Amino acid sequence: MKRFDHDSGRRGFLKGLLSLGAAGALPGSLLVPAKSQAAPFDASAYQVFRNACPRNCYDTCSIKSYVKDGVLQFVEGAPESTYTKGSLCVKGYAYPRRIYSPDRIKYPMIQEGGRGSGKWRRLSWDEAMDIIADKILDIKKRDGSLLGLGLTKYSGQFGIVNYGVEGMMSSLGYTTRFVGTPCWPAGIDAQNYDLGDMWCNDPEDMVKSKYIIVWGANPAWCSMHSMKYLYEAKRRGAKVLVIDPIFTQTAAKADVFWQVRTGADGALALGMARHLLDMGLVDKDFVENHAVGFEEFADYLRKNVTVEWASEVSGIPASEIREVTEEFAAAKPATVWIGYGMQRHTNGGAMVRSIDAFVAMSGNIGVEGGGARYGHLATWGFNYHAMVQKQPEGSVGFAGASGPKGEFDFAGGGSAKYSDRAVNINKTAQEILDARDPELKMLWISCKNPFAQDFDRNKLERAFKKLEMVVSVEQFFTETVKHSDIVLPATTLFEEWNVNVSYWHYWLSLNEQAIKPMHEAKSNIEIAAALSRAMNRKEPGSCTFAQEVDGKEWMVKEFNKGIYGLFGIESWEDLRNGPAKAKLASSASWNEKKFRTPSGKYEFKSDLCAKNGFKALPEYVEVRKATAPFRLLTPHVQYALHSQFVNLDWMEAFYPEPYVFIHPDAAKAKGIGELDMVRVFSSIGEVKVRAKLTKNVQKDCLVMYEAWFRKLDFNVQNVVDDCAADMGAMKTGAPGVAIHDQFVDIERI
Amino acid sequence: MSKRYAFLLDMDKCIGCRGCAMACKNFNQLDPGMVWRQVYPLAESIYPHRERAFLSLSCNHCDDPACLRACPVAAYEKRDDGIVVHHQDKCIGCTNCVRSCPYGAPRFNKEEKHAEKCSMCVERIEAGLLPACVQGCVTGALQLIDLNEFEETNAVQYPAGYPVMKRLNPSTRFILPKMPRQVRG
Amino acid sequence: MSLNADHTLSLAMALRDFFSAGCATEMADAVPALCAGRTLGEDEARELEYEFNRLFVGPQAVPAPPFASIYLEKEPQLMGRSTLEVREFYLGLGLAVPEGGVPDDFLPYELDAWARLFMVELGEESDEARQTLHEAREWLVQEHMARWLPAFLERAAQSSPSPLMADILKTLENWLHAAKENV
Repeated sequence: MKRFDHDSGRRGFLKGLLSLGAAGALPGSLLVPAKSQAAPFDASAYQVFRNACPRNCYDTCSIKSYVKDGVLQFVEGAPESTYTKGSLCVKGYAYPRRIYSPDRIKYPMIQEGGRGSGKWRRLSWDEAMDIIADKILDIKKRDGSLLGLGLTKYSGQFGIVNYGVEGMMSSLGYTTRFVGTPCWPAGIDAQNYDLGDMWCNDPEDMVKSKYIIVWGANPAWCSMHSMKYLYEAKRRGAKVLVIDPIFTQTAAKADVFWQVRTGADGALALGMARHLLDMGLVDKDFVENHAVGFEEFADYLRKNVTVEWASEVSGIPASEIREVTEEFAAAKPATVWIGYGMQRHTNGGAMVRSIDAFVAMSGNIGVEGGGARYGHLATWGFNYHAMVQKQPEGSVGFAGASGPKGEFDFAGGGSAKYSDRAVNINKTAQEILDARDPELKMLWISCKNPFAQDFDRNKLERAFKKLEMVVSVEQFFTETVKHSDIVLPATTLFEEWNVNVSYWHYWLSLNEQAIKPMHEAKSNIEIAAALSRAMNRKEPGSCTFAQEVDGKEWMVKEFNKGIYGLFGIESWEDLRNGPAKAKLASSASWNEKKFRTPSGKYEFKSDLCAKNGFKALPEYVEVRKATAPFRLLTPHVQYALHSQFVNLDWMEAFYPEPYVFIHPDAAKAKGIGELDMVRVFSSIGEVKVRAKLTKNVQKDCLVMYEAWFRKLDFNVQNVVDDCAADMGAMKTGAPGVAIHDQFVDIERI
Repeated sequence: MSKRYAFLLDMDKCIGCRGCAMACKNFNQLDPGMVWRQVYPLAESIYPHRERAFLSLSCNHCDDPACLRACPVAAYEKRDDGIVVHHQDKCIGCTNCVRSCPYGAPRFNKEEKHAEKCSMCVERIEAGLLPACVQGCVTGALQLIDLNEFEETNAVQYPAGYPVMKRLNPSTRFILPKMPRQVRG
Repeated sequence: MSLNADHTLSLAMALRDFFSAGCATEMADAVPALCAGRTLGEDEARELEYEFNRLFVGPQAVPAPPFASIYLEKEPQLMGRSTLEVREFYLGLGLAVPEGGVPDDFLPYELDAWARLFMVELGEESDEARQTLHEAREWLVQEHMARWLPAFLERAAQSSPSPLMADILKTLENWLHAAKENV
């Protein structure tokens, strides 16, 4: 019989000494679980923590987390934020199931016998880091630089400290970065050409609006907390118009719904602008004193645009266009919420510029309750301490300076001798295939699930074959992890320190570590520190990242006087009492009408835009031509944030299965009945899914909501190619992607 | 005057997000498959757009609850404040209540072999808090009202698709959904 | 003290070592005690490790997670009420799981607790103390482990285990049987 060692080693798990006295009190009291009585709820029985939802959603909720015995029991919205106002969304309420899901990745692991073999072996963190460090050093030796090491990271887990992932890469040297954003870049550039920045009004001031156009956004599913402001505006007498190719849930809540032809929003906006001009409804003071190029734009409208033409292109009757334009102009203030869906087109940036121009002409820029609302980064002035790291001495990279590495690249480019190699995040597969001198050999993936979110999934599969090593930092076994060599378990928001703000509202939220990390999960900066230890052990000086990090200290290091001043707080600790809102001089952006354009004025005519290869004026640009009978739209569903949440059991109870939505007439023509299994296909791939018939979609459109189901191989990216949107390169480093300019056919199977 | 608590569902504000039902699961930690609140899309014969208007329903906390009448062991209690509470410890799992409620509020928990239903989060109300579903409603569509003070003239007791049960006199009130004027391209 | 008791104790420890193993070597070390002295070659051990991870560890969702709360909670989750019940039980014994994020009801911890209790009980002279230890062990087996291990074994058995893994699972089943008899 083996000797039982009480005190030491792996075998003696249960630390401490057996105490007979205590053991005497044991069994009886434990046998019967206490029945729940209807005693009043007692919040003091819990430890309450502050968290900030990091899922890159408009709403970026301030969360209150209730912990008992070190276990997160339930979550609710912070009542202190007038935006979150005590309620989370259906996704947020599912968080407890996410942390304690048995499906979470628990340990660092390596896949042997090839990616997809399913032969996984556990690694200690040290072993994992040794393998990774060896590979990085091997690449450096072979290539003389680290440009063969690529990083693809986006917004799967936001929070300022998580920019430590980019910091980790910089601390190794100059690497290849997948830059840009699939989200909103065309619109960002458009607003930069027109206004000099992207800066929206406080969404809470929509209650002051008298006319609201929600244009290509579906807040009822994607920004639920904004709906109460629309409702309040309506209660105060405002009219709400929703313009969308789909009869969305938001459309159902509007006063008027315009079902626009997809990609024709720009023509529609120009038609409305022409009508303002014809009716003498242009705000003279604004276009003469605060804008440049208006006369040229007016000239363009007179020569090239009529309401009848706009009606023909968009499908909205001319009488409607006239009526709404006049109502919008008469209502003061009036606003347009420009959605991100609307700019995911080959003409997306041009369309946003047309809408901006319409709002500007109507005199609603810089007005409380007005504005061409798109987004803002006005509250993001952190230190980026985790992100800004120095390359090791003597690092060699891409010769010359670099551009921005995404919309959140607050560190900027710089004029160093060397820089990172920037490749387009929206063409992940193609960039991997095309990379030369040196080829991409290794890919680090964090806060991102490329196999669910990147375009042309079949091409991505081919591209990954080129890579010598793929490392994923993840919480769940996604298709991306399946295609990885090494997976590292990442903490959830409840297991790490962070701070977060929104690109829509103006609240700042602390994210406290509410529970200890489950299993062996580490935060991104802890992973960076572990890698730094391994690198420096093998080759001293090869990584500049701190070798020990304290999550809380690193969170504190992101704060500065500017942030404290903007939010009117003395210290980050004030946020323990609840989130803080920026102290705004006005709820209106551009309230001083000092624009950040080269002219300092609103630019109907932008020379910068022309210099970058587009039209100087917000002219009409035709959308991508159809290549198959149906246009495919793949927007978001309320149960998912991209590939997150639908894999949780609680969510499966509400959303067990995806569908393709098809108009009954189109279905009839194709011989497709309700709930029939169909094949949605194009030249790049196919999706098999059941069909639901609904007039919510147009006859020539199919709709599939993107999501990742743990038990299904459903993936809309099988049929979404990587065709670029027009704009985005200026501010985010790469153009956007034409997610909604996709064409497919459908058949019953 | 005593209170008479009830749910008000403003269907014109409800976006069918299921946040109420998830908040209920989150707070009450319900068993799998058990839902005390459920969100039902209205049939297209009632609201002509598929899955765009909803009834979010739990227990209606009736004046004269069928469940209470049907229960042989007095596991149900109608409180003075209108809340109908089911005491799981008294329940013998006979399912009389499940069969008698025309709104399907009591559900039979096969694992535990007892009935269960929404108690309007009475333990939260007693602590001065809102029921989890009401607090969890992002749009303000689901509200807690005191019927004794309720004067909303738009509200109805029996929207289409919801059984009319005059004797039970369910306490839930509804504001009906409207439809936008539609211009289809 | 019977031989049977001795054997049950050593099995508990070997099972603990097997289910807590993080690599092929540790698994192979535990196998002889679990499978009648069988020893594994390097390749066999490596295949066993892959299978072990497929069934119990991940990174993909596993068919048979080795945590009690997956089977005892109405909705499978980690850190459920049953996990805390086990934590309380350990605390009553003056024990705790080591620092880290592994739930208290991880199978190897429970086997370890059982083995500790049994070992102390075997060496204890006082009848009263023995009785207390016995009751604690009875709770652990009858009221806790016996409530979830059959479901765990069932799920593992339904996930196409190799003959070797099936043997090991059979040993766990036998141990549970013996532990139940033995109390």
